[in-house]
Amino acid sequence: MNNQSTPSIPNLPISTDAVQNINRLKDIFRQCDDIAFERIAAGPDMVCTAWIVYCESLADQQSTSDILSVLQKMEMRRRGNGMSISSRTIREWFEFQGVIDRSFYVHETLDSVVRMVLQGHVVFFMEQWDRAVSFNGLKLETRGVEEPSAERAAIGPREGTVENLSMNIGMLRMRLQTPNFKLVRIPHAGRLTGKEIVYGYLEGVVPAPVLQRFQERIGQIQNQDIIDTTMVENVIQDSGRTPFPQCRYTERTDAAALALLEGKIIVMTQGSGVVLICPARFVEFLQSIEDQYHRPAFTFFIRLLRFAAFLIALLLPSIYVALTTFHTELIPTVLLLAITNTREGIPFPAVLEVLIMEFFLELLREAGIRLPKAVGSAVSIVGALIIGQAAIDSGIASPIMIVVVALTGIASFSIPQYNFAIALRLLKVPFILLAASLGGFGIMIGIILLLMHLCSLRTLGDPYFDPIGPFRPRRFAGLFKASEMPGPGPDAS
Amino acid sequence: MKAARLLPPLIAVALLLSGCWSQMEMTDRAFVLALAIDKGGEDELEATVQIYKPISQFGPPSGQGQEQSFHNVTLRGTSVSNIIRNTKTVTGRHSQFSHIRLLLISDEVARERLADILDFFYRDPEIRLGMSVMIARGRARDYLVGRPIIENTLGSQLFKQLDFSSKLAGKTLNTTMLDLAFGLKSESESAMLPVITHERQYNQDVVRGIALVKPDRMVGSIPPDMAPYLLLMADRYKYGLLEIPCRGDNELAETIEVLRSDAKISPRLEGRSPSARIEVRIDASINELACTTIRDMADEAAFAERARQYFKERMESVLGTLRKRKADALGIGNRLYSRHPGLWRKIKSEWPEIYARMPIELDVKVYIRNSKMMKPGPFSRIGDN
Repeated sequence: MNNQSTPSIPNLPISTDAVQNINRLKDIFRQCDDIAFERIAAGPDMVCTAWIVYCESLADQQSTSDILSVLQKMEMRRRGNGMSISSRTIREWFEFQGVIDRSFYVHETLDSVVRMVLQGHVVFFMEQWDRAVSFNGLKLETRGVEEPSAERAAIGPREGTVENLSMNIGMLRMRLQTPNFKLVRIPHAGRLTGKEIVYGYLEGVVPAPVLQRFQERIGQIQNQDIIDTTMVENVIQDSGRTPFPQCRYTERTDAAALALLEGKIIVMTQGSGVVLICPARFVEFLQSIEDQYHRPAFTFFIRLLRFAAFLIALLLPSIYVALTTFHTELIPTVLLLAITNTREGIPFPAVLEVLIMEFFLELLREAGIRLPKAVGSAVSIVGALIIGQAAIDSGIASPIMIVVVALTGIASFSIPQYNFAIALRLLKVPFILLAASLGGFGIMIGIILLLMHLCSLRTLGDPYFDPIGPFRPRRFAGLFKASEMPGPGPDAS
Repeated sequence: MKAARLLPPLIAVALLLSGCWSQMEMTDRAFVLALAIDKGGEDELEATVQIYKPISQFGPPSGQGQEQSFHNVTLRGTSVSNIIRNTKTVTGRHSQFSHIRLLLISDEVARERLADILDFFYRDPEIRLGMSVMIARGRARDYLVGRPIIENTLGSQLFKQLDFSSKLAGKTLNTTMLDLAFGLKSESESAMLPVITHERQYNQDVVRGIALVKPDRMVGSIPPDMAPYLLLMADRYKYGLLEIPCRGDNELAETIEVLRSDAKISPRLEGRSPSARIEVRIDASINELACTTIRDMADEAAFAERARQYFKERMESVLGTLRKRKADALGIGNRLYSRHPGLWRKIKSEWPEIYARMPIELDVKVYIRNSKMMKPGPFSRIGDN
């Protein structure tokens, strides 16, 4: 796997000639001006020369001075030429004398040296020694732990993940203090990106076939370029064509810990605060970590509410189109007369009106996300108040349509998982078109197709639509209770 | 594989270029709220369709106050369906009958023909069986013209009047198309319809009284003051007040509020001579007293007995009217049929005559449940005897 990761660098062994090593490295790192090569002469007569190679922007400056002090001590105890330095003596020096508590690695090829330099290691070459020693000098600026802005909760911990992987792991360890919590490192994942990726699971809780399938797929990660955890999903997911996400994401450590307890596998990446949770099933996207902290009655209510929100976000515009153009007899008389009043004078057919307003809403939403916070609120005010009112006044849209579109938008906001709400936004349009051409019958066709699709979907081999798709009454009832959301059942494949 | 790739565009073309026959924008529909049927001329009918006229929010705001939110289209023709088809030529929109609430038939037409007018309404898929049918005294169209008191349209105004008159006043009943079909199709072959009258004195329309109809025509009516007793016997009485006149010549009356009423009709067949027994039970509370003093249980029992006798008297009078008109609105014949279907077949042909003279026993029970007062109030007549 090493060969694959850096194909351009020949897998050269480290030669005894330190100058040759350094020249080769300089050639590899040509025009990489952030890589520092420092020649050090040590010893009383300055005969012992050594080189330190590190990435200025990654490695701590303190580490290089540490090396120097080690070198001084080494020089004092030096006997014979450089060849007499065995790895054992080096180890002794590093462990007992010098660089104190840092783990170090001994390298035999330039290839691994290059990789370590790019991961923030400080590499140490010595004259007439065909090995190099590196130790982790990585010093990353990291922001403080704060509440994740994308996943606010009224109650519960305010602790969110940061961009520093080891801090994230630490926060998780604090929540799961058991040796069964396994964390597997993939030190150099990705073709060119070379990210450090860690996946974790609770042994004994996660079903063995799921774990095995996951491990098979994560092995493919060397063929991908990974910038963020979210990109790992491309490797893990069963189907890339479905609009439905098959992984959940969280930035809350409590949510990640709960997922582990439910038998999920989590994936974290260095430099990203996003924790990927897989396999995710359909119903889990309608649940929030906060449900665990409430009283059961409220959990029941709030989860029911989210199911309603799911249906509204998916179907409300199409139901409106179907009702007003095909099934007016289904609308209660008084409401119908009110709607006819508002519809009178609108030049567009209902379907076009819905599509126009949905397009407006999507535009506003996109604008609101991308813009800086201060301007973003201005956009939402302009969008919601001014455009909405103006659209009604100018006769483009009817007030009832604004209600329908706004309700759809709010319902999609109330779905806890953002990537799932996106799926609903995508699916809304085909439903509107079906409703416009075939009415309620069309919506029914759409629902049947959607159910067929959901029932055939799998996530890491498990049925995606689990307690509903293969209907399991007891687990289905458990959906509405916070404490009873177990992992895949014993009969899950 | 190629076929699979062709599928999405084919589906899209099929869906977007064709379309469903019932697809029609709301702005292409005219919602019918009420329909009045009058006699148009020799063998002709005159139908008045009241359609809802939406008031656009973009119109001049000043016009909204004066403008009425409905419009009446009156057309003549020989058949109901043909007239209704032709309304398009006047309104320029498709007449949608799904929300029609009221069918008014003038008594003039109803006395001549009924079933052939109604036939269209049972066949048309748009019209609901929940539509109410009402007999209009005089010209039915006149009830759809004018200014509604509270509601937006006269159609819904009349419907509301009917609804509350039947539910809370006990002066008539709400008969839907389905009720009507059940009544006319049953072995009794008769039904009751509410009646709307115009009070010229106060220039207002009131819904009260009951018309008796047979499949072919309307055969008679029960006046508003007698209507509650018919409803009580038919077990269709929902809620209302009943008056009991005081003894003597003074025109005072006392009122009880009916809390609950039950009626049980049990026909019997002995040999070939049927008889029936009607048990009416009224649970009531005292609402207003004018000439009675109630101090103890005995007084109350005496009052209940007086009420019972008066009610029974009235019910017998109603029963007499029904029998005279040969309208089996209580459904005695139908009950007889369901108990003795074999014998019924033999007597069915002469049923109207049998009905007119068969013995019908009436048993009325009145229970005073509540006097609404723990102690005699300020106006009570303690020691007045």
